[in-house]
Parts: sequence; structure tokens; C-alpha cells
Amino acid sequence: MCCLSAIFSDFLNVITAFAQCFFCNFAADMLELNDVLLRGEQWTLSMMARDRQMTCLVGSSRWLYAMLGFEPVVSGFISVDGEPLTPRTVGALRRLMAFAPQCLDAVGTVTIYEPPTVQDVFSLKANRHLPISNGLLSEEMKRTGAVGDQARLLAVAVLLRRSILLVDHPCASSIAYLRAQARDGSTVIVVSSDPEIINAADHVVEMAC
Amino acid sequence: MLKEDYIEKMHINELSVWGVLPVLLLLALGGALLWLMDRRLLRGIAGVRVSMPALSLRQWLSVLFSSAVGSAVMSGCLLLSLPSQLFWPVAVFMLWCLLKSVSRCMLTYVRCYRHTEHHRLYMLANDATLLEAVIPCVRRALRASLLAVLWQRSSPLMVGMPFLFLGLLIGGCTLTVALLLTVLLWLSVLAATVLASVLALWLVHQPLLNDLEWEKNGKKK
Repeated sequence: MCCLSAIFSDFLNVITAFAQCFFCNFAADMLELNDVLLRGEQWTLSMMARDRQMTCLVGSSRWLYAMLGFEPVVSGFISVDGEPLTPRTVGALRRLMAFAPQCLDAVGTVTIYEPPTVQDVFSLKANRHLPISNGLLSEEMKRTGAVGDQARLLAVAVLLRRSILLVDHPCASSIAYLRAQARDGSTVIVVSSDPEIINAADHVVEMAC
Repeated sequence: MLKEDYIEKMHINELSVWGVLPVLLLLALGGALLWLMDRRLLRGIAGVRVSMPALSLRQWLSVLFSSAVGSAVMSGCLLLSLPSQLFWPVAVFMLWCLLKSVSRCMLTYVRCYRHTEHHRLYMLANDATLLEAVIPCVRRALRASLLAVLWQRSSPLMVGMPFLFLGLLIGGCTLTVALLLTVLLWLSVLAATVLASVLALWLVHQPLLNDLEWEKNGKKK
């Protein structure tokens, strides 16, 4: 009897290990840019951002927008897990990414600007199933190490629980938090020229000036 | 039948277009004069002139088309309770109201669309659909168009509506019918504004989205 339970327990361990390996492989999202040239840029960019790594791109925020499919790519291609980013696939691939901009401002002069609220993001059809509360948000905001709007935007992006996290110019106080996200299995890509963040990144891609 | 008896027994269905049209023309002239005195007309024309360069030809055409459709539909609905001779005066009156409010709606939408680019991209990046991303602009534009109608109606409450009411009475309507018609016309203008604004926004929605999104570039390839 004791022998049987030991065999069963071993069998369970094997199954669990296999499942972990299987799902970890599927959760791994690799974002690749292959000789990508954006309109108005002189240099092409080739890079590979892997899961469990924090990649720092020293350059313009336009590259993040290009990864999200908002900037026209003149040549080359962007792919996620081998799937190229095209008008047809952009919707599905965006579902793997969460984006935290540096700030949200109105373009030009406006009398009243109402920036999107946390409620706006979590009431979207695709995000309704995600848990959110004031307590959860404030707890996550504290963990980010940032303050104000930047903390809120970063916390919202993390609470969306996507496998690729794109962060535009994070503050140096968020390094530990971003590294923790990478350790938890996310593919973290930041655009920054802050030396502290560059030093903390696992992988640095520097654009020629 | 004596004239007095005839006036007494006159019903809305017996309204003569020849009786109402001059009254409406007089009303329009009187209203225009009062508006000129109030400089509102001048300001309105200046506003339209200012907004013209902000809108493209396609957007102006969609404003014209949706206003025409809105006024035709609502005037057609009003024909269920009004004599057919009144179609053109009502339709023209409604078209004038709609042109102003729908152009205001379109202008608000276009400006909002340009000013909230970061906002829209943020929402799209975090999994909003195209409609969900532009909903704040649509809401603001509809609010602007309805406010434009309410502003138009607020001064006519002092100037235009009594004129219309008086005109209908002179034209031969009974007091109740004149009151009902005035309210009915106002409500139908509100309904037509919503209809025409939604139609105009729907017509420009996709081309506007394509102005900035890279989908257009992708399709070109």
C-alpha cells in the first residue's frame, strides 16, 4: 500500500513538472525586431526581447509604439513568438502586451482634458474579467516605487497581467519592481536613457545617434 | 360659410400652405433681424467660417448629407400629424437647425480626436476596440451638438418660439394646436440632431481613424 502511494506521488510530481514546463514554454513570449526601419529614422533596429529578462532600449519612445503597431514600419518586421505583426494580427498580438506610457497629456492646448481613468481601462470588454479594486490598485501603486500618475499607469499595466510589459521612460525608483516582474516570467521592455536603468537591465539595445 | 365660422372650425389638416408660407417667411425675416441685432447671426457665420478650414471636404459633405437625411426623416415622421404642404417649410427649418448643430458636433469630434491622440493610443494598446477608444470623443461631440440645439432654442424661446407660435395662430391654428406644434417641432429637432450627428460620426469614423493609424499604411503595402 505504502509502495503504491509512493508510486502515485512520484507520478503526480512528474505530471506537475511536465505541466509546469509545458505551460511555461507557452507563456514565454519573445518579441523580435528584425531590421526594422521606422519612417524618419536613419538606422534599422534588430533586437530580441526574451521572457524573464528586462530589456532596455536607449532610443525614442516611437519604438514602443511600433511594437504596438501604431507606427508604420518602412522595412523589416516585428514578430511575437514568430508571428509577424501585421494589420491582421495586430489585434491578437496586442492582447499579449500591456503598455505604461510616461504620462498622458492632451496634444495641443485644450480647455478641459479628461485623462482615462483606471475604471475606463478595466471596464473595456477585453479586461472586464480582471479583478480590480481600490485596495488592489493602491497596493500595486506602492510596490511600483514611483509616484503619482506614473505609478498609476505602471500599476494598471501590471494588473492587466499580460506577458509582455512595455514601459516608456520609467523612473529609477521602479527598477526593483520591473526586475521583479521580469523574474515572475514577464518580458519587460523599457525605453530609457537613465544610466541607473541601463545598468539594471539584463539586455541593453542602444540606438546610434 | 362665414369667414369667422371658418376660422373657428379650422383644423390643423386644413392649413393652407399659402397661408403659412408668408408667415414663416416673415418669421424668418423677423428672426434674422433680431439675431442680427443680437449679433448672434454674425457670430454664427463667423463660427462656421472658422470651423471650415478645420474640417475636410469629406467631413463637410458628411455633415451636409447627414443633416439632409436627418431633416428628411424627421419631417417625414412629422407628416404623420401634419398636412403634406408643410413638408418643405418644416424640412428647411430643420435643415438649418441641423446644419449648425451637426457641424458643431463634427468640429468637436475632429478637435477631440486630434487632442486625445495619446489617450486613444493608450486605450488601444491596453486592448480597447476602435469604438471603445473613440467613445469619449463621440460622447463629447454628441453633447456639443445637443448643446448647440439647446442654445439655438434658448434664444428662440425669447425670440423665435413666440414668433412661430404667433405665426401659427395668425395662420389659422387654434391655441392648443399652435402650442403642440411648437413643442413637437422642438422635440423633432432634438431627435433629428441625435440622428444626424450619429450618422455624420459614423460616416467620418473610419476615414478619421485611418488618418493616424498604421493600418492605412499596411493596406497600402
